[in-house]
Amino acid sequence: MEKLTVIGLREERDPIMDTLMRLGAVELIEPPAEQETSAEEAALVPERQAIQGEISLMSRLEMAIDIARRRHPVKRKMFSGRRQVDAATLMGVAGREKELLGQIARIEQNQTRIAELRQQLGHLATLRDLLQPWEGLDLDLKQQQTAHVQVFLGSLDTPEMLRQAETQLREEVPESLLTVLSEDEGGLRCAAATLRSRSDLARSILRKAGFSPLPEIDTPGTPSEQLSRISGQIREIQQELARREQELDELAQSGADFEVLHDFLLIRHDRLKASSDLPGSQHTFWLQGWVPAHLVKSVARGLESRFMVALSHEPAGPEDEYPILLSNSKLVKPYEVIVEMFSPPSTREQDPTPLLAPFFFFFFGMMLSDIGYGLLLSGLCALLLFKVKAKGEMGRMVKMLFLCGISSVIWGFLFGSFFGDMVSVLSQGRLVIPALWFNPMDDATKLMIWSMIFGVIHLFAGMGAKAYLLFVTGRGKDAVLDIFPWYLIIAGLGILLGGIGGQTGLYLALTGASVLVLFGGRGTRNPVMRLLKGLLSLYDITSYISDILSYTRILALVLATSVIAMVVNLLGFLGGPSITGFFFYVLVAILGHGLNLALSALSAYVHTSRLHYVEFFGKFYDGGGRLWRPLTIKTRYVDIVRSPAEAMEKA
Amino acid sequence: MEFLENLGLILTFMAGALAALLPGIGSAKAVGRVGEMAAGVLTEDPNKFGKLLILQALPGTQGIYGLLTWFMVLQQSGLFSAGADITWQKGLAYLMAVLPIAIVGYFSAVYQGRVSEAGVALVAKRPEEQSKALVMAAMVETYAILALLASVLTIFRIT
Repeated sequence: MEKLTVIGLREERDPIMDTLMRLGAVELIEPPAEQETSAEEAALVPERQAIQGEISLMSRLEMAIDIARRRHPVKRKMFSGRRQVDAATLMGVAGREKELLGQIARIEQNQTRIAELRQQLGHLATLRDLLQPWEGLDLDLKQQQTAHVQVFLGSLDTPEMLRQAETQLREEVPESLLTVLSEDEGGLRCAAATLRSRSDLARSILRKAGFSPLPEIDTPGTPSEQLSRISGQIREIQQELARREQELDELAQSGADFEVLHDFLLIRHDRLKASSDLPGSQHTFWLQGWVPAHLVKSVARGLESRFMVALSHEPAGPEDEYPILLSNSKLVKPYEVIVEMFSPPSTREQDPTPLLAPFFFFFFGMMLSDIGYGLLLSGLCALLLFKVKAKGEMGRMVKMLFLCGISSVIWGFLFGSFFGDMVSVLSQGRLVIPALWFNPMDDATKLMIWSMIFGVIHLFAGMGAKAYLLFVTGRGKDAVLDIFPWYLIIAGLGILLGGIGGQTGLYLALTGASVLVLFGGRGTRNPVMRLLKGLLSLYDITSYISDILSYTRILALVLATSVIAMVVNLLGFLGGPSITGFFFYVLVAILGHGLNLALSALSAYVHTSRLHYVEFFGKFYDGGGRLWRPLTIKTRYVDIVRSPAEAMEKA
Repeated sequence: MEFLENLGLILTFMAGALAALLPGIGSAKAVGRVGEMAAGVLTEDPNKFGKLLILQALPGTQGIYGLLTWFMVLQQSGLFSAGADITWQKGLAYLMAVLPIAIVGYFSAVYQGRVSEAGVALVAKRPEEQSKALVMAAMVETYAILALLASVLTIFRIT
């Protein structure tokens, strides 16, 4: 990483930032927060407002794009990736910004109005339903009272309720009248009349009896007049709704342009945000950023050829907390994802990816270990890579799984497994894929022992990395006294357990142990304490044993994959070797093997990661770095491709 | 006496049933609860479906280990090929052999489900940290794997 410092003219700031974004090779360093003078702050206000404005425009566009996508769903092919837009189209759409924003405003208006109209429509429909039973009544609904008399119109559900209401009224408000106007399946439509002075009491009695009054209506007219007025209104509203919907439909046809505009605004927003923080004087500005060493030259050339800038760069010092960009050969690169997911190396550590890659390949393949599943996995990944053009982190992940699929095929041959025992089931035992090494189903114990042996090799590699790091940092003595004895102990115990080489194993282990006991506590002066500490360091054997045992999970996962595959084959072939039987088999196999592949690949990925994160990294790697995140062109809906002219200019 | 003659068969079937039963229940419980929580997160952000589905699938492996053990019991005891003659001692041995995966499988599924649920909450806030949630859930699964190995290796030893 190199620290780049650029000083340029203020008037050229925006084009310079634009170029930096296009180059995508500089991570800006946030300038230290200084006390801003009020004048500077005043100058910043319009810029900050502009940034805010862009954000709100973008969220309005997002909403419009949402509407457009719902109204005019574009059929997308599966695995087709994002739409490609060249720079000319982008600038063309950007030139129509005003017009498009006008369309957005109209979409919003229509949207609000449609919601309003829908609400009114619902309201009117309820009113109509309420008035329908009263259609025959020849009474002005607004006129519900005279100088002395108050009339209530409303419904009662049952004759029972009517009788109750009548009795109550007779007792408490004798100067009242309750009559039934009409009767239908919805209940009894009644009118009650009473003196205005007694109307409150009468109303509450009626309520208690279950009387549901008609809502008050402001416009005069009999129910039938009201009803015809309401249906007129409903017709009008429906017409407006249709008109509005149509307009919205038309407006929403520019959805594709909205997407381009959104991304244009996003780019402009990012540029504005990055440049608004830059310090400087009245006519100049300056910026600092991290640039990977191999890109410094092209960045410098890109800037100096076009702008008046003063430029300098220096390598990152040991004190700098610079960001990390992992750089590996093509075959190893995909495995960077695994390291980055754990934590990128800190500035004082080495990149563990080259060491991790072969082991990850090895263990993943061993866990999945099936020719058929491996081919399927690699095939799927190839499809994603070449048809969808998966990029960035996703792309590296897919590449990594592609490689792991190949490893699974290799292990599948070693264990003689093709979709479990598919071949021998379908040929009814006549054909068997021979295992190049051995079949784990025949000798599980053997595989368990080998799992642990591979685990020991894995751990030894991790310990070796630690020893290497110690040597490089000038602490070779620690490596010899703390790490090498464990090589002797573990290897010695292994040989002893394996029953080969007679007493060699024992001697090896004892040598290692005595080095530990003698030198494990070398930090302490007191000889007794030192010996005790040395003895205590032997206790670490438990952690080594649990680490090694952890690798037996490989056996379990191998068995899980192949046994479930066998169960699928067994279930599928229940129909026997007939036409229907084979048809049924194909159906079960597609479902069953598909599911098994998904779950087994997930298990293999998760458990291989775990073996690396916990057992392997535990020996030598801490991480704690920060990934390099350059200022670059980010988009959400479309991919911007360079026009040929631009590409040439860049070259 | 017919019962005693068939006792080996009955015990073997019980062993197979137990192996498939308990881890299956545990996984169903765990996957169900993680799913409920994941669905809640999806109401806010449907784009996280892929990430959350993987978390939901994790505690499902115990059910698979149970099925695996069931298969092993039936295959090793010769029940898939007709006319198996199983003594009651052998049947009892099978029953004992499946206990690790039956019991540990059940509990580890439930607890792994809880870690996965917490993982769902993690992914809801910081989707880029999904792999850490996966590995933490996988830590619990280790014990199901160890139990599976104990059961399966024992079954292989029963002759």
